[in-house]
Amino acid sequence: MSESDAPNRREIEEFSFDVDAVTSSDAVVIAEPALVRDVRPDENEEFESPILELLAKPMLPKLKHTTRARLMMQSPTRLYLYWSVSAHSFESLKNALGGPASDYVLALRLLDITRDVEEVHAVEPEGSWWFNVRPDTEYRAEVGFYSVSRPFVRILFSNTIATPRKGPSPHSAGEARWAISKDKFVDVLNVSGFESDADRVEVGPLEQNIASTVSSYLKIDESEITTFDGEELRWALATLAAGTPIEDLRYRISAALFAFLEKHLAKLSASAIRENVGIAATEFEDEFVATPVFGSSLVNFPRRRFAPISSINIP
Amino acid sequence: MPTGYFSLILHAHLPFVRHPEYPEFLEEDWLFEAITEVYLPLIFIFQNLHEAGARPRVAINVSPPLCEMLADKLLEERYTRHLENLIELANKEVHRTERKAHDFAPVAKMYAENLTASLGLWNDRYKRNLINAFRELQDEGVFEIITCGATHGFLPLISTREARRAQIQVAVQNYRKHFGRQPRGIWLPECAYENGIEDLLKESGIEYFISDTHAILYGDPRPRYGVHAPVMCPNGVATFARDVETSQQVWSAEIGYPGSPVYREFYRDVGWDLPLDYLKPHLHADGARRHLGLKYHSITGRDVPQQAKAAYQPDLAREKTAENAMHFLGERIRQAQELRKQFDGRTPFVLSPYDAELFGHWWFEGPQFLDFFFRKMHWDQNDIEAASPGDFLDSDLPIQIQQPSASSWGENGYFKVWINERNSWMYPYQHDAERRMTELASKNYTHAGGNATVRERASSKPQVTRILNQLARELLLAESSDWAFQIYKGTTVEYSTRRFQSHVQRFDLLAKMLETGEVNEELLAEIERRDNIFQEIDSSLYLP
Repeated sequence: MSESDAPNRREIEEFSFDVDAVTSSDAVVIAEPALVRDVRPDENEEFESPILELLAKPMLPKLKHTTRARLMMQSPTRLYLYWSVSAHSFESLKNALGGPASDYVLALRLLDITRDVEEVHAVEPEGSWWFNVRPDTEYRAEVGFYSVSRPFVRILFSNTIATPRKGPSPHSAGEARWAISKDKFVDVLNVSGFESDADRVEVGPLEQNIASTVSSYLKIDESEITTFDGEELRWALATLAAGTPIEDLRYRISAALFAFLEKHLAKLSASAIRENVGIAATEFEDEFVATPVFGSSLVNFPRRRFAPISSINIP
Repeated sequence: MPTGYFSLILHAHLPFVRHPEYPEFLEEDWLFEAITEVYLPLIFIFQNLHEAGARPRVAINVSPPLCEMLADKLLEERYTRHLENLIELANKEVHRTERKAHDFAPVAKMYAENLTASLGLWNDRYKRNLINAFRELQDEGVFEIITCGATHGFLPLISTREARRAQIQVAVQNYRKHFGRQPRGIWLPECAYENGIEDLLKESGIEYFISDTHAILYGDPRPRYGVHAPVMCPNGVATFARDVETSQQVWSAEIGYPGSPVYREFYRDVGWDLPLDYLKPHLHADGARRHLGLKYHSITGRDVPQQAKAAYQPDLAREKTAENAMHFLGERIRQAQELRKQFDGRTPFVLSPYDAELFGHWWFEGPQFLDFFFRKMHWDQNDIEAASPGDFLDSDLPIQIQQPSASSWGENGYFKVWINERNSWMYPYQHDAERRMTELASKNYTHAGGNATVRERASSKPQVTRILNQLARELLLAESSDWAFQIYKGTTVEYSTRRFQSHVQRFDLLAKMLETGEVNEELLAEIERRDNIFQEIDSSLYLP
């Protein structure tokens, strides 16, 4: 699908104000840390100097109420964003918008740069957000004023994050010395303990098989489905299987796929997808299974084929 | 040529825990236990292996905070007192168990002997400075010592290029200070890699880094030899990734060797078993019970409750250790033969990284296991040869070029342990300090004027330089991944939270001195006294 015919791209103009230079003296704490019980020093301890007392009772400084945003990756399918919009930026923009300001809400939008789609949420001037996202995709977050009928007015934007592919590369090396056939690569993955990936490479990408599974379950012609992007179809079904309402997908998948899913919604409940399409509700969980290990590290081991997960640990 | 290479990688790291403001401090015991149970035994067995001609070869990361603690006079004195006190208790225990608790007499005797020998090594052989021992073993070709992030900062979650670069450059400077040479390799903190980190490594002259399995398996293009050969990033820095099979054999609580019923039980400790009055001279002044390191029971069985654990029998455990070492070596031969068949005759390179503290602390018999393993490897077979990543690079064997994939060795393979609902509150503070650090460095190093170099400008205002350098120390200490890790795990949450708060607060207090020009000399000196890590630091490296 080319960029030009992506049907769910909002046809809106964008413009930004340079407000980053403005710093307000207001202060705000973005998030509270976990509650700390003051174990040391003793509450009644007397200090030789105010300096010793100051250092003995550490307090986080208040963060300046400036304009900031940082997008961080937790996994290929989950991102975290925190942001803060200074009061000055907020007010000056609101004034600049003038009369129509009341039509706008402050909004956070996550841009899927790879597919040129977005999701939008109404937010407060400071806060944080967790996003379910797709592997092998570039994302950037923006905060600004949003209106259904007007251009998005960007106040700030975050750094860009590229989520990694959640599986082996589809490419073999070009140089003959390093080129590897599919069968040999399956062996390499198996011997490395990555058996699930070996299976996946062996049978081909799951999305290639999904069209036939879905069409036979819905009792429709496969050609109705093969027009969709296989990876997108799989992702959308996994999202529904995880219990997400279909409305949440409206602007995150192509309009044609959304219409298709909506049409067949009666047969696409979370449990029906899990049972009939073979997509687990755990698609957004990470690929690896934490196995109890000795010591203090939480070292991961890959998911094994048919291996039961034991709850036994050394007490 | 052997059938396969085996590369043991040990990651020795503890966060910087040093509290001169208190006469004794619970968390300093982390270091003291590790010296007694891990570092001294490992040094001792590798020195013996070397002297016996067994030609052991291991790459070991001695992290910069650990180096700084091992070289610190205050901690050296405190450790010596700690060990002497423990020996006193162990000797008391030999008499008590001989009279009243015969089942535990052999294990009590074992501790008294081991600890006395440790004191001899500490005082006489290594002159109370284990850096000397590590350096000696490197010079003898036993260890290839690699470095780590300066304070084990989780690089992908550090927000500025300058702050990421500082984690690497401060580590390299510190390595040069302690080991007198340039490090070849680095243990990326938590093996956390994302695209671009290799450029920072190259800038600092690092030749290779250790990564997790899927960094290579999911890299692009597909790796011809999986994780059983290194790959080279397009910029020429190599990476060696973790072999899963050897990890599981040693580390997995389901199938790993340390779960053997005859091995020592970690959680049953005399600090909780013996009467408080009897223990009192060996506890801290607060008289609170704690682990003392004398543990008299065996695992006995996974489902056996703590109160029903059997007495530990050192002889039985030793036999089992020899058996496990033999099994491990046999499995390496089998693995190498299988891999070689798939590799059209190329010799596979099996990289096996572990926390050093697994050997001796968590798995009491671990150092003995390594001793048996290297002896058998040298004298009983020719299929497997020990090699370090640096040895591989020196061999000039061709290396596939590949872009590795973002990954870490932590739970679930990515960054979840260090960024999640429990610890995400930390990052706005950390990132704010990172931004301010570069701002303050830019402002203060360039305002001194003239055409002098940055260093000369800095030295023209010594007090400003002191503050900038201490700011860098506080930022680095706040960035330690250990705090977010402990908060996620739910262990030592209070201490870890407090440490993070302390460093952020101290950073802010110092930054305000520069911002306002009002320097509180007493406060500055007190912060310098407490957080004295990296005396050699040059904060101008935070300049853009």
